[in-house]
Amino acid sequence: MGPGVTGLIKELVGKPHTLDDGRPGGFYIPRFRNLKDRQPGFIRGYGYEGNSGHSMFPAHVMDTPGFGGQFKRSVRDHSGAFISMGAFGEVLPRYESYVDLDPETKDAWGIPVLRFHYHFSDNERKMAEDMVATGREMLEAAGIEVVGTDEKVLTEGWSIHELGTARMGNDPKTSVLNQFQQSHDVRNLFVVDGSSHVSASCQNPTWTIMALAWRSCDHLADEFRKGNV
Amino acid sequence: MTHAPKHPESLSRRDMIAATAAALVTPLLQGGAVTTQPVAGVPGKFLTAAEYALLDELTELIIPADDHSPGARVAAVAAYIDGRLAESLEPDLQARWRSGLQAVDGLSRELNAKPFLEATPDQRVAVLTRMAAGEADPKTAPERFFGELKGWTARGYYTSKIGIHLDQEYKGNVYQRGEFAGYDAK
Repeated sequence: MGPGVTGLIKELVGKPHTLDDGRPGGFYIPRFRNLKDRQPGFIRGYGYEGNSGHSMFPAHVMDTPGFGGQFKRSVRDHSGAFISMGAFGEVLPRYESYVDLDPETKDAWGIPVLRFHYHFSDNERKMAEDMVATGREMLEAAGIEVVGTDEKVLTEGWSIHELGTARMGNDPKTSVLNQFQQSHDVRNLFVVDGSSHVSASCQNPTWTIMALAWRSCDHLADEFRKGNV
Repeated sequence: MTHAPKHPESLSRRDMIAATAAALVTPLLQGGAVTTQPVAGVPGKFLTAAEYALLDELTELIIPADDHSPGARVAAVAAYIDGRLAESLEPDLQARWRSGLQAVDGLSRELNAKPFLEATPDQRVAVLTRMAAGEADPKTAPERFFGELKGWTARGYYTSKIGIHLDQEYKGNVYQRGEFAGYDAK
């Protein structure tokens, strides 16, 4: 979603460069908010994705001011001394979030393009504030100097894990698909992508999409044998 | 590394090989400070000879040779940038670099009453210092060009063999034997 923190591990500045390929320098902190605690500002939670260590390209180069010998030495000394992490949070389902067909704009084949109606709410914005504050707290507790924070929430859709709009449920009045991702309205239509998700949770959705698709295929095969589809 | 800096055509093939070897192979094997002569009088794939020489000098000022590793000149950063400009399908980008280099000369005339490459080393640093002063919030044409110049210089240098292996001493892309030990910060 954008918010995150970057820290400098001073003890590593100017130290010999190490081979960090394959090291677990990329880390993941699973959701911890609103599991045992109860946050006053928001419901649900978020996880952090982060990394540290030496890489082939010194990504901090453009954040190192100036030019010349001092600049070059600073880039070299600070390689591998940074740690950064960014948060990905759940976006709540809302009736105001939906897609529809554009009445005017068509694609190259004459098919109306999709229009996305999708905005973050106060819950996401409050959660984003907590992402930065808690990330800072974690780094500082580890004795790491926080050298940068990203407080800006990136535009809706940036995370390219947008889900939902054909939510699953038992009631055809409030859902599009049943528990097997089969359309309530259109017989024999199965929607086996992320559209069936009721909420865009904070985890990467691909495995869930695959698991649900597998389940749908099993059901489809059973129903096919019975002659129901 | 993309291309070695172009050498004057008057060089014999033998000299060319020797010069190329000195510029490329030696620093990779031995490390340490190696400087070669600035490129002069040879046009790039996109830039004119004068523009190319100016760019070559600017990149070396941004990432100079020191006692640890060669600089942008030996890493052929100007050739990298010139090559990207030549391949670019964006006329705006090419025009921006051309006018950016002109802005550097313009600023040098303003500060030193002579073009950049005719100025003394101290005067050249003064020009670049002025350009870098607005790095956080660039306003003038030379200040805006500085960010792009520095970014491409860094991209060219730190993706070259010299930048990756000699300067950054990157140790990856090899088999790791035994257990990962890391560095003991204590």
